Amino acid sequence: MNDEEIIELFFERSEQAIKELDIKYGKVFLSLSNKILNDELDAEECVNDAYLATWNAIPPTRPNPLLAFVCKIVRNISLKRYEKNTATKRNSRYDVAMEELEDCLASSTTIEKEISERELTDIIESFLESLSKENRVIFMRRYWFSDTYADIAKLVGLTEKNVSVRLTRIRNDLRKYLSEREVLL
Amino acid sequence: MTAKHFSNALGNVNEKYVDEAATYTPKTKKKIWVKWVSIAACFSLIAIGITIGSILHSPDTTDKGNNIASYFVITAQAANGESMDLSVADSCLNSGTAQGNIFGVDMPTFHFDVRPSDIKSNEAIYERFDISISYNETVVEWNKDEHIMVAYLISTQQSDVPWAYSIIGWFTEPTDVVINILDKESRKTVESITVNVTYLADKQEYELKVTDLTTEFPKQ
Repeated sequence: MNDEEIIELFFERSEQAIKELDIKYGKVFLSLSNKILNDELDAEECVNDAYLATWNAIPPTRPNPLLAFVCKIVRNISLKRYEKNTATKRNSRYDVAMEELEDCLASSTTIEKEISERELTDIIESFLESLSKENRVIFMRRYWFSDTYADIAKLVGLTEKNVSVRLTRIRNDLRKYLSEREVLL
Repeated sequence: MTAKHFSNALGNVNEKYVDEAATYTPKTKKKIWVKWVSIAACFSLIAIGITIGSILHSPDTTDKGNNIASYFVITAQAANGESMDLSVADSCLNSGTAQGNIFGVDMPTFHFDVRPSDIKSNEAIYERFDISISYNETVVEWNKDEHIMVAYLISTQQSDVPWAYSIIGWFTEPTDVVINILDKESRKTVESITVNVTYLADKQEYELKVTDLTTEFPKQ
């Protein structure tokens, strides 16, 4: 079933919409959530919560693309659960990916421009635009989806080492990009 | 800024970026990256240099082997001979031992092994190897004690030895390499490709940038 048909089912308030969404993308959502939480049961709960949120959002929203729309919900719910869980454990793939970014984003001084999340999102989007498609995908798969190097290497057809090198370069570029915009001082 | 701050902002990027990453499929390439194993540890830099000189700079060389250069390849290899990544045409997926006689010059014997399972998934599997390469964009990286080999693959038109390398050279220092593509009949240069082998001092890596790469070889 294509995305438009699934969305139509949501608009008809048919519970089949959730089933079809799960059949088509359920594994993607579960994988995404599990990479953040490192706990299958928690991940399943988050995906179910995301389905409920999707059910509440459609209608009136008519998402395009559907996959990205629900992925965002899954990620947000999973991150909230993650924050709740982090007091007791820090061992997910998300942690590892974030530690890489900490090194990249850490300011050498305590002076740092206050920047709103929206402004930062705009800057990140413009940075993403500056990347080649393949590098953009690599970056997003690593820091949005929390994919491992092996996952990314398999997806884009590169070696793990090549992915690692590329990510290092992208992070360096990101740091430079943010510094030039005085986000990092 | 904390990673969490960044992550939250990243979470709000336009859905087109999420969708692009979620649905990404690599371009179908004419050439597939494969792994060649256990080759060329015995390659001699000096011999290769002589070979290269013979291949590239002797337009009058007689084609004793009736060879036809078919595909252009940029490749790299660790000096210890552990591995090789290269680009080949589908039709030459094979395994065995090959020894080329290219434009009348004997090439060293080498063994290659291409695993169909790797090819089918368009995924080269790397184990303990230190080098890798991307086609037509970036990159060769390897440890500083390794060498980079720039070469192209040719068809020998011989059933027992169908493919062989024509090696442009081995490099351990930053350099510009000009690859001359010869017309198969006249053996005269019909096109040149410049390959920049640069050294990234801070990372102890080399980078191979290919400019103006021609996929079909020779250019008709």
